[in-house]
Amino acid sequence: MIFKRIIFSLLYNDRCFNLSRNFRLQKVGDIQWIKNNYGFGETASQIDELIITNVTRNLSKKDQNDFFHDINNLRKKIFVPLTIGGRIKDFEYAKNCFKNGADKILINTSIFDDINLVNKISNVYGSQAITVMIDVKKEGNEFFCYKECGEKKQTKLDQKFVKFLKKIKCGEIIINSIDNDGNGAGINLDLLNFFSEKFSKPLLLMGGAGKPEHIWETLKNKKVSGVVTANLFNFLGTGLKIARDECIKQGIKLPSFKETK
Amino acid sequence: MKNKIVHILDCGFGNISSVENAFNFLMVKNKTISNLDESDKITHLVIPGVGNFKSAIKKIKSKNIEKKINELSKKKCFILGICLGMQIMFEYGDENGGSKGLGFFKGSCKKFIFKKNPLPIPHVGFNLVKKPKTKIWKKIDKEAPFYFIHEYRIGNEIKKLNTKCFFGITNYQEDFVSYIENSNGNVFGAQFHPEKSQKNGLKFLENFSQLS
Repeated sequence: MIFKRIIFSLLYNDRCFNLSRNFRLQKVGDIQWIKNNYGFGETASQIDELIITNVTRNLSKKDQNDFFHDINNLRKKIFVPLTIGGRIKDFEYAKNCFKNGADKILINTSIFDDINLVNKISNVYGSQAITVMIDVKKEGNEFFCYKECGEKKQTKLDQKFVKFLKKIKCGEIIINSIDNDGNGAGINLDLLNFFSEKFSKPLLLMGGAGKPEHIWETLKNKKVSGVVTANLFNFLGTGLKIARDECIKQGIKLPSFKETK
Repeated sequence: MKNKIVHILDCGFGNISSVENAFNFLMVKNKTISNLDESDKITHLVIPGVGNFKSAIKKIKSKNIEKKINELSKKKCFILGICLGMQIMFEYGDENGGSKGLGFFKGSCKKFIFKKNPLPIPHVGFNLVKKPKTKIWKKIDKEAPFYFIHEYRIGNEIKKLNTKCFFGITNYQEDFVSYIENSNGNVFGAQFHPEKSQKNGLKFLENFSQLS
């Protein structure tokens, strides 16, 4: 049995959680706000995994510590796998992410700038501990990969790049559509055309999920292991439970989680 | 029942805080230790683990705790190895050129072998565990989802080598051993992460903490 996954992603910037639309951030609230207004405990009992990405610019040592403080606060009652990402540019910080509860870390810029860092982390923590996120944007009929939180265009998404992805010592790959980010209008399944069914790593899609059908339509695709959504308003509260139940009704193999105490 | 202390062994290769959080949530007293110098007092020991077999065993050996763990396993101490913590309980691990394990169970830990239609490796995500009927599985469904993340696994063939043990089986194109328990009912290995497995995982850890 292989289950598919619904993963929730939180965007963290300057001690607040954010909504993102085409990679432009909008502050929503701090950690207490998330807990109070959206009953994150309940949401967390309906997800397969949680990703927290820190997109704070010029992350200082103090910012890092504040971030870990907030994460540790949030995850006390969340018993799902946690991926921490954003601005991971040296081994020391990666190590601290693992120390502060990360099961996996999310890498984007370093696959372009410092593949040795990825190798080093993989050698110590195992390749399954690394999730690679590729941010892509459409131009004409082509897709381009970006680094630095979507700020710098890097390379064309083509077979050569897919080959490169295959070789990276990572456990899974998330393809995130900058164009669909936060628009809630559906997930771009065209991105899957670049990958064969034999692609050796689990593949996840992110960007554009706004309704339950966006999630189950995507999960029905054989190539997809999971869907990642960061859509706070659509899916916090009971939204994810409804989406999950609908997916199961549609025949998607998802583990069924009864309410936690 | 809640006055027992679960000791969590931190050898520098585990995701300790998640396990601590789970026991805290369950209101089970727990203490993280980096050596087994005061092993006399330990009734419940958890060995969490992520990373690779060879470096984990190296760390265990460098801290001189291999002998102590062996002693504890022969006493009435309940020992639970999680993920890599389970794998190192076997005789041998193939990862990184191979190395000897603790040898509580016979057999070795190998990479998944797919003859046809290879599935993605590592095996990541929730998968069903067909559980045995032992105390630690009390009030958990016959087939319940638990979270896995691993590249190496204990193959089904080891069942023949450990005839008196109890097994939990999971299928990832092939059946593999996702749970093992010795005949004395005091040494347990879980390939899955109970601390990351929602309600079922918490129940599993609670049951472990209540063993006596």
